[in-house]
Amino acid sequence: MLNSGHTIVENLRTAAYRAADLLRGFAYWSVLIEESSKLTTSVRRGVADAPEREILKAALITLGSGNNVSYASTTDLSESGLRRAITSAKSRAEALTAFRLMEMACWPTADQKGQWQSPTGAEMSLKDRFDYMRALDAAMHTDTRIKNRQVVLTSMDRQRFFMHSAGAEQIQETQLCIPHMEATASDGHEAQSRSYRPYVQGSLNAETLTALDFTPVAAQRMAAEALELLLAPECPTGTMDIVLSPAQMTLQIHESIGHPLELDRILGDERNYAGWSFVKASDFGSLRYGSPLLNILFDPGEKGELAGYAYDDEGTPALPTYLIQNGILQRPLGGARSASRAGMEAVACARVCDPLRQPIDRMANINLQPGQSSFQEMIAQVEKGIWMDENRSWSIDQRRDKFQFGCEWGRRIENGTLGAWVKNPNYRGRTLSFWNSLAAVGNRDTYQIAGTPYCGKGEPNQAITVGHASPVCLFRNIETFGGDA
Amino acid sequence: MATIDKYIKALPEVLSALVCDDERLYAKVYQEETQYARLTQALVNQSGGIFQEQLTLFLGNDQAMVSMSVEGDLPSPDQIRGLVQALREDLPHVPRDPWLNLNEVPEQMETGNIHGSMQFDELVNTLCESAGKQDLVGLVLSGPQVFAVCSSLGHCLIHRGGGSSIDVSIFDADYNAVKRVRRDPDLVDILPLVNGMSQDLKALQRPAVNIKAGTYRAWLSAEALGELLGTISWNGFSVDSIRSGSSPLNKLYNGEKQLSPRIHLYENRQMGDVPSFTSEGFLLPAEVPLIQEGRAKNHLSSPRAAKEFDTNINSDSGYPSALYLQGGDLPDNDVLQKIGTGLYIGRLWYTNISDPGSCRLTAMTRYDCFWVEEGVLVGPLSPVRMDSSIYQLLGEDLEAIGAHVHQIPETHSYGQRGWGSSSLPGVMTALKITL
Repeated sequence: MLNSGHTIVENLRTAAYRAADLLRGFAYWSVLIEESSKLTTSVRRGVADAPEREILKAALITLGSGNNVSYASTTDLSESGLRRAITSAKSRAEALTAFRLMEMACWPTADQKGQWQSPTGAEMSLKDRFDYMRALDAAMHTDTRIKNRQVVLTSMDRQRFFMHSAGAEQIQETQLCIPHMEATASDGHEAQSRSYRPYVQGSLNAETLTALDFTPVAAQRMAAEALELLLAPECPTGTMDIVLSPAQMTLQIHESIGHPLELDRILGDERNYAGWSFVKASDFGSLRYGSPLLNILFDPGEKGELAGYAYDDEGTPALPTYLIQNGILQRPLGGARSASRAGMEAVACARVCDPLRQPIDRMANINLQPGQSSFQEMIAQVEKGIWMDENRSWSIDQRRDKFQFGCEWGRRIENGTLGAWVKNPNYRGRTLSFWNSLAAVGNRDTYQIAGTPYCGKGEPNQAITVGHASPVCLFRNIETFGGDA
Repeated sequence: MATIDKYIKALPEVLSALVCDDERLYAKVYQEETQYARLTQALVNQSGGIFQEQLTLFLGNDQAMVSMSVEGDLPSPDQIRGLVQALREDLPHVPRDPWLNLNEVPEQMETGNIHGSMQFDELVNTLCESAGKQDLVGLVLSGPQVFAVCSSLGHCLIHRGGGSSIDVSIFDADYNAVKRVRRDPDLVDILPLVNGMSQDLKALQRPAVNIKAGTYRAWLSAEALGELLGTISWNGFSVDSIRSGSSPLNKLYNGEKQLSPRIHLYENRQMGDVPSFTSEGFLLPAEVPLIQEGRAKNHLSSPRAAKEFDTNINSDSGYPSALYLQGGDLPDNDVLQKIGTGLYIGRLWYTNISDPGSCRLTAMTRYDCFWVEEGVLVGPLSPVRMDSSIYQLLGEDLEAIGAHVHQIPETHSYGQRGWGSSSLPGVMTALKITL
C-alpha cells in the first residue's frame, strides 16, 4: 500500500486519465486526484502514543451539465467508483439547475501543463522519531512543577494530479513537517504553558528539526519559561505600545488581513459560518488599510512556507501579488471562480483541504514584507509597552473588525529597555485602526516564516494549511491587559 | 448501506484470522455518502456529493500498539493482510506503552438509525423557491453515515446516523440576520420555516443600539450558551487536563471555586445520539454527571487516561460530545420580562479562553442579539465583545435557567459529518461587555 513517489504519480495519472475518458462527452469538467500519506507520532508525559499512519486516496470530479456545474468526491477510484461519482454529479447539476448561481460558461478553465515540488527529502525512521521525541521530553522534565509535557511530530507527503477539459495537466508534490512541543507548569493554583510550533514545508528529519531549533535546548527553554511565567506578575492594564513577534504576527495577519480579504467572504458566501468581511469590493485601490509601512504580499513561492504551490486547485497559476501596498488595499484573495463573479482579476487561491471537499478562496502564503528597523531600534522607541510572543487566545467578530488576542508570554518595555516577564498578556482593538497604528516594521533579520495547518472555513467545513511570514512589528497605543483585568 | 453492513459484520472473522500469538487487531470503519448544496442569495453556489470510506487498523500486543488508516476503497481481506504486515514491521520500533488499554471482552452493539438522502434535490429546490428574492445563505446536507468498531476478539459495535440537515441564515441590507438549524425537515415545513425567519428578521429591523463597556443583565440563549460550553469542552473536562493543571476548570475541580447550585451538567450520549463505544471496544455509560449542584462531580476518562490516572472509562476521547444541562423554571415566553433592561443574546461567535486561570471566555455577539428595555425589544445590538468568567456567568451572576431544554444539532463537518447534538436551556445572567 505504501508506494514510492514515482509510482504514486503514475497511479494518479492512470486514475485521472480513467476519469477523463469517462468525462470526454461533457463540455466542462476537471479531475483532481490525491494520494497522501501522513504519520503522526507523539510522546506525552514520557509515554509514546500509538503512531498513526494515514493514507488518503480520493478524487474530486467537477462536471458541467444542463448549464450547471456540480462536484462529486469519492474515495473509490475504481472505474465503477469514478463512474458512480460522475453520474451523481451529472444528475445533481441537472436537478439543481433552476436555482444555479452561475452559468456554466462562467466557471474557470485551466490550460497550463506543469509540475511543482516543495522542498523534499528523506524522512526519519519511526525508531529515530521516537528517540528524538523522548530526548525532547526528557529535556522538558526538569522540575516537579512541570505537570504536562508533550511532543508531537507529524509528517505528510501529498501528491496531486489535476486535469481540466481546457487542457491543463498539473502534478504537484508537497511534503509537510509539523512539529509541536509544549510544557505546562502548575503550582496547584494556576498553570502556565509554553509551546513551540515551527511548521514548514519539507521533510521531517533531524536536519530539518535542527535547522528549526526544534531541539532539546529549545525543549529545556520551554520548561524554564513556563516555570518563569508561574512566578511572573500579570501583564499591566492600560493603553500602551506593543511589539509583536513573528509568531504572534502570524495570527494577527491571518485573522485581520487574510480572512477579511477573502473574496468569497466579501461576496457573502461564508456568512452562515465563517462570516462576512468589513471590506467592500469598492475599497480596492483606495482604502487605507494600514500605515504606509504595511506591505502584504500573497506569495506561494516563499520557500518552505506552509502553503506554497505553483497552481491552485482550479489550475490557476500562482504568482506573487501585492494585496496591500504602502498601506493601501490593492487586491482581494479571490480564486478564478469568485473573481469571475466579482468581475475582478483572480489570485490563485481556490484550494481544497483534500479532494473530499470543493475549492474555496483561501489565504495560502500571506506575508508582511520586512522594513528597516532592527529589533533593538524598535524596543528603543518604546517608552512604555509590552513585547509579546506566541499566540494563546484568538477571537474576532464575523466581519473581522473587533478582535482580542492573547499571548503565552510578554516582557515589559520601559524607557526603551526590555524588562521583566509578565504573564497572560492580551490586547484588543479594531482592524483598521490597529494596522494604522503600525509604527515600525522589523528588518529581514527579524523576519520568520510560520503558519498553521488548521485554518477552518467553508461549508462543508475544511481545515487547511496557511503560511504567514513577518518581521517583528511595533504598534502604538493599544489597549492591553492581563489575566485579572 | 447493505454492502457496508456486510463488510462490517464479516470483519471480526477476517481480523481474527490475521493475528498471531499475543496480537490484538482492532478496526474502525467509517462510511458516509453525503450530498451538499452551499447556498448564496437563495441560489445554489456550489453543490456536490461525497462518497467517503475509511478503515483504520490498530495492531497491539502486550507492549504497544500501532495504527494505520486507509481512506480509499475499503481493503479486501487480502489487502488487510498486507496492511497488518506493514503494521507488524512498525510495532517493534514503538516504545512500551504502559497505558495501552484494550477491551478483552468482545462486545456487540448496534445503535442509531440510518437516514437516507431522499428528497435532497427537492429539499434544495423547495428551500430556494421558498426564499424567493430573500438573501438566504447556508448549507443543506443529506445522506447516511455508519461508524463501526470490530476486533479480532469478536467486537462488532455499530452506530448509524446521518439524514438531512438545513443550516441557513437570512440577511437584510443592514447586515441584520437570523439563523436556523433543522435536522430531517419535511418538505412541507420549509416554507413555514423561511416565513418564520423573515418574521424574526423584521424584529431586528430597527435602529441598532450601541452600548458602552460595562456589565449588563443578559439572557444567553441555548445556542449562545452552547458556544461557550463548547469552548470549555476543548480541555475542560478531561482527566488528563485536570490532573496536569491545564484545564480551564481547574479551580472547579480542585474545589477552589464552584458554580451556582442550580447547575447540573451531564455528558449524555444517549440523548445526544452519538456512538456509545470507544475505538478500543469499551462500552460507554449513557450518562456521566460532570457538575452537580454547581460542584465538580466527574471528569471524562478515555481508556488510556483511565489507565494512567486510575479512573473509570467514561469517554472515548476526554472531550464531551453530548452535553446536557438540566433545565430550570423560567419559561421562554417570560424571558424578555425577566431581562427587564439588558441584553438578549441569541448567538455568540468565535469564543476563546482569554484567561484559563479564571476560566474567562471572550466572544462576539452575532445574529439575533438585542437591547431590551422594561421587557420590550428596543433594537438589534451593534456587535460587541463579551469577556466574562464562567464562575460569574454560571455562578454568582446566574439568576435563572430556562425551563425548556433545546436540542442543538452538531453542525461541524471537518473531515467528516459530525454526529449528535447537545441539549441546553438558556440562562439569565450578567455579561461583561468590553468593546
